[in-house]
Amino acid sequence: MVSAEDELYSLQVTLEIIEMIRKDLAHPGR
Amino acid sequence: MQELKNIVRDPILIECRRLGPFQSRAKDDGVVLDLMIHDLDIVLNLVGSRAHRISAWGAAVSSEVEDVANVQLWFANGCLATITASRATQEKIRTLAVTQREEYVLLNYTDQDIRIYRQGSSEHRLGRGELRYKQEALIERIFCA
Repeated sequence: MVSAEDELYSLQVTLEIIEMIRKDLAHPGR
Repeated sequence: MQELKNIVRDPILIECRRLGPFQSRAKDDGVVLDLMIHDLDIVLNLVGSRAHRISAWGAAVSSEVEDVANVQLWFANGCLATITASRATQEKIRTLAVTQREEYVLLNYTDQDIRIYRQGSSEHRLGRGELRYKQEALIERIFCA
């Protein structure tokens, strides 16, 4: 059973990863 | 997933690969939301520790957003996870591999097969002028319904 806190953490990590990748795609090689 | 939770106790390294060809239905979301999110959930659930360092890399291939992504997560308990997702690969691959102290667990989602390798050994031998490689391990196979 996954807790609400774990689900929230998973979502935060996912959003952080998307942000890192999108920044890299917007400014490649930075 | 529950079967995996029973097997994975103290992971050192987790490697996830979720790769396949591009499908036009998924071009609005990047591959992280489309595919990788499942492996992120699984890894975070298996490790049971917080990531203290994250690195991420992505490339747009067939859309304006990331179609290929690779992420490394370092956890407070010492575990390292590397997750690769792609919708630019001409072969459908869905695997998760866990290295732990005495076992290597390989899960193939496509055929619902789990293999557990124990007591692995490998050696190189030079005989009759040629190099030979020998690899041995005990393998346990689990089929998930």
